[in-house]
Amino acid sequence: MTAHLSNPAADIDNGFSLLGLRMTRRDALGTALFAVAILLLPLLMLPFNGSAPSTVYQIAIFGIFAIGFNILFGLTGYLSFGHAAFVGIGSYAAIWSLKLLTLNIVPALFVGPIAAGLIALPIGWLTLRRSGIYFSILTLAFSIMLFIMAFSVFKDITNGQDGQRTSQFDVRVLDDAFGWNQPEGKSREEVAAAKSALAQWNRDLAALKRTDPEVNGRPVDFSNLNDFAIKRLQDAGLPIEARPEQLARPSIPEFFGTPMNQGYTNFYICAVVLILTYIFATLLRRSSFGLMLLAVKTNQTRMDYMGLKPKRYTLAAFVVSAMFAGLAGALFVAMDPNAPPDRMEWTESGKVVIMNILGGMGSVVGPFIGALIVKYFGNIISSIDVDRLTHAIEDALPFPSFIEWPIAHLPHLFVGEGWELGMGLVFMLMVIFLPGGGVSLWQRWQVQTKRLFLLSFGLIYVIYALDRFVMGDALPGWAMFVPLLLFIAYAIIRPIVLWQQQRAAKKALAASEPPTPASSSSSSPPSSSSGETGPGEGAATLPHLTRKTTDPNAPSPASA
Amino acid sequence: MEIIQQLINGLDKGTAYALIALGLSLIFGTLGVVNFAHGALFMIGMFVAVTIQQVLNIPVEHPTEVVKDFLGNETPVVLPLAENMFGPEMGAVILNNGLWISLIVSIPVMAGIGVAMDRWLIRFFYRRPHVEQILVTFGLAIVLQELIKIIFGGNTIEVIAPDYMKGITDLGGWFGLEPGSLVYPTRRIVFVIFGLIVLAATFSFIQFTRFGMVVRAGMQDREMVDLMGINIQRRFTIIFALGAVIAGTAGVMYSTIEKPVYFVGMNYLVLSFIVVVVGGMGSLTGAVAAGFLLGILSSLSALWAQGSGYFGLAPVFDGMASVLPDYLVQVFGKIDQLVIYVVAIIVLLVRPRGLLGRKGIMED
Amino acid sequence: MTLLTVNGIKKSFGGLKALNDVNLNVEEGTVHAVIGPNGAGKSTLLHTFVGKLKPDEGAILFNGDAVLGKDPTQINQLGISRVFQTPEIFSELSMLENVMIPALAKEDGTFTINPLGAAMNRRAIRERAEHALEDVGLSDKMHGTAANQSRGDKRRLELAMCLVQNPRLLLLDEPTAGMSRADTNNTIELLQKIHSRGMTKVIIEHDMHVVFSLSTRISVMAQGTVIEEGTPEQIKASAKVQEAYLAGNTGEE
Repeated sequence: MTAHLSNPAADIDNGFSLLGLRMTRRDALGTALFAVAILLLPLLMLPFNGSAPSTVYQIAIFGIFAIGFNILFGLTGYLSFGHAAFVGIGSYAAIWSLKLLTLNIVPALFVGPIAAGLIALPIGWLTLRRSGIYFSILTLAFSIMLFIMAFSVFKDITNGQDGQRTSQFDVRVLDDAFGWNQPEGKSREEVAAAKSALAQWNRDLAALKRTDPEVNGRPVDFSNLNDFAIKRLQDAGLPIEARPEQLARPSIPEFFGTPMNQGYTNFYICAVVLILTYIFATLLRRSSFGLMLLAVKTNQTRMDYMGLKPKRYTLAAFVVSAMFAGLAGALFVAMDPNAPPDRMEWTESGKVVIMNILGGMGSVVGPFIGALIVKYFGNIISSIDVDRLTHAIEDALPFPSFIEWPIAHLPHLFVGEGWELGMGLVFMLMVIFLPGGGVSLWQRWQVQTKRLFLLSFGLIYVIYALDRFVMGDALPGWAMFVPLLLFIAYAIIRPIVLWQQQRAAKKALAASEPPTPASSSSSSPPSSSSGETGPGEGAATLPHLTRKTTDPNAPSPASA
Repeated sequence: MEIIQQLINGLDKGTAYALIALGLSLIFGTLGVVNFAHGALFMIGMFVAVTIQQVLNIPVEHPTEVVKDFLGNETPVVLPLAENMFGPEMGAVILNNGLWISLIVSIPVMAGIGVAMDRWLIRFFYRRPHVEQILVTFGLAIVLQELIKIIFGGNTIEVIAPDYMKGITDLGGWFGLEPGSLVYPTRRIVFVIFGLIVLAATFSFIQFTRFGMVVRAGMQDREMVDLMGINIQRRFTIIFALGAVIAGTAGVMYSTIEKPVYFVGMNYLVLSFIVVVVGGMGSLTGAVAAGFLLGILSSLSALWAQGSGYFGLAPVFDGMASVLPDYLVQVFGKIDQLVIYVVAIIVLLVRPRGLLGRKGIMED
Repeated sequence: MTLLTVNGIKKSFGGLKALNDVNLNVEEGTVHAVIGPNGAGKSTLLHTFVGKLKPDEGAILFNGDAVLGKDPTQINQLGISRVFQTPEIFSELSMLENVMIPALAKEDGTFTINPLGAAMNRRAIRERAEHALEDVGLSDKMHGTAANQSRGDKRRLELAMCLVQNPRLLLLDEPTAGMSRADTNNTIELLQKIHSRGMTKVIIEHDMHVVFSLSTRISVMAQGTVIEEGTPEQIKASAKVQEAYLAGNTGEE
């Protein structure tokens, strides 16, 4: 199912070396291109209405998650439905770092992956004892378990449905020790005095609580102790003082002074992490470790007989991918410190699988592209005003209403709230016809087609720039997409035409004419690709009667 | 006594799991296909019931009769469609028995959906790796779920049970025990009975018909069946449709117990898969047994969580509670929700073929 | 010296005695064939050598080390390498990568997760892999995807994968099964070439032509035990052996 990028090994020697790991020249070029594209992402997303900081940084974070996940799914073939749990763990670990240590996001970005990795270790060890769909179900079960536990057992840590937030009342050890993120304009002594006053007040309150005081015969409710409540308790005669004045402290995560909620700083931090992730994944792919993972995907039995223990590699891949998930979770929190647990739901694990498939699992950039598509469509397309679009189409088309109605209402299926339907359909089509994902489609195209694609994509920007800066927004919003739509039409029609030509040529051949050189179509028609066997199927599911009787070590042909 | 009450409480959920797991296991054992869209089929069944209810209740203006509203103006009487078409008495009867109408309607509907799914999609995945089957059926489940969401909206919709099924039945009287000691909502009993009938019918079919024999042989050893010249593939569509009908009709009947909403399919899918795997993939009896087991287990552990004496182990538990840190105590308290997953994990690790599974199937 | 000692191996499956007191000695540097009619227990015996199967009784010593109780990974590290009946290769990887993996494994015993260190040795490992492919005559197809090769080439690939680990003992389980005459002859040539390096081999075979072309010693199994052992000439002449074969299948194609 994965298009294997086999690089003649000689390329590695001519490539680049980083910390003893290697990548080819092509890899390095790809990495550089990727880095540039990511750093320019807000610009690139302008015509698509997607350059808001929250949109692009979400794309970046999901890209990290998806690339990390690809290390497990793409390389070893193990499908885990439980990685959303690691995102959650990373999130909670990060938020507690923000609350307990410092508002500086750097420690949080380390704590997240480490926590996720630590928990992934035993889970991976247990779940990897099985493979195939048993493994998938096990990961699913664990993920749901953790989700439930997050709401119940660990409610103190996670604060249940509401999620944790940073607040100005957090005790931040490092911040206070080094004088970071303190209230504005106050000296250290003032801050220390205010803190000790509050600490004393808290101690007095605790002592008071221990006496189980009662007012009017009923036990005192100490929750929600605002100033008004305190006043009433004082009037009732309880020995409670007014709460000492709090100096307002910042509660927004920051990066060495720059807060995360302004401008594009948040995006650029995610972008840098994303680029580093990309480099890491590329190096991994080309390393011996990566080779082992690919071997695991195709033939674990063989590995045993070579003296290798496949489980080590799969476990390492599991933990590494979990750590990236944790990193993604930590980044989420660092950018926006609400930690809602619905990121831990198993359907979120499904999303990252979709991202991997849509983009293509055989490369490092594929999962990112999948993340881009899913997140972009999720954020932008889902917020398109469907009804307006419907009316616009109805106005534009001159057909009678009963023809118009289905066309105009078609977007309802894909845009606005229904975008998941469209995504689901595209996903299904991908799995059926193009298991290698979007990137494999690109690889299958001929040079001419690739050029046309780049041209039509580039024209989007040209038209956009012209429209905005020269023509003063004169063109309708969809004008810049025209070349792309034309290209899509071309890309769909051409292979069909070629396929017809091939069929005609075959018929001519049957009349025993010399074979016409059949032009290779840019993407083969569906029927040929569905006949392919998937990975690992070669050795494991061949029907072999003789093997049955004489070779009990053959993998049992349980189901084709 | 409470134990028995809790046992019965778990029966309806257990029956639901068993029915869904039955279809799943049938499809996996014979076709070798992992069908992640099975929960969606259950959900569609639920929405068939919703649709019928809504259709029967479409407000229609009466052609002739009018009433006076409180201002003295005449407005036409608005009646549900059923009453409009069949008159007041018959209409009321039909409205009341909408559930049974849904059940009858759902059979061809689910069969049609099952046939369509198999012929247009699943067929191409018979020989593809399990991972791809999971992915494509997962995608299909999302698509179906979203379609339902678009049509019916995102909120739960209540399906009203027939009058005679509302309320509770006093089972105490049946078993010669004190009246009022053992009660159970009637519609749940009906569901359980329905489930048992379906299970019995399916098992008889598998056991006593020629078709069923081929199915059983195919589940045991596909290659041998092929060698004997039996083209089992031709029967796949029927088997798939059968699984769809079982899941769908279960959904119809369950709609009065749990309010249908578009995402219910996924919830039951996960649990049903766990059930199938625990029971043993490729074993129908295992799937059914595990379904009931897990349903009852979760119900019993809810009892535990409610602290009803912990089956006499209260002193032990209190002793533990004083020693263990707070949150561990909480784990035991919340164990009802976790127990299914914990059991599933343990079974999968200790006995990967499941309780009743055949050796060699997906064993590592 | 005796490289592999097999003493009194017994294995039953339920009521069926698959191996019933098997005794065998393989001398270093020989090509030792194990032949016999179907169901004699040859493959079962091989499985006990590689750790796939645990016998009920008996002992197996390889170079003085006990083999029983070890798992396939450990046994491979002792120096025993195995060619499968149906080629077990990494179908999605290139031929070269297929051979590099066992080369990497051999590098430091059990390959530990050391992406940094191993990458440094990559060139050396690659060269070893290339040599192994040369030896089996697959140099020109080095970069092709393994799945796309012919069956004969896959068999050679498997051989290369074993050779690159420089095993002391090579086990071949019906290496020419299902091959054409031409392919079979090629395989014989290949195995002869390797033999000239002094590698010890145990071959299970049905094709008598292969057996007599290659082996220096033959053990004949029937019904779970070794009924006769000797040089090829001795075996050819043995009446006991002919009887055993006539009772079952004839060994010829």
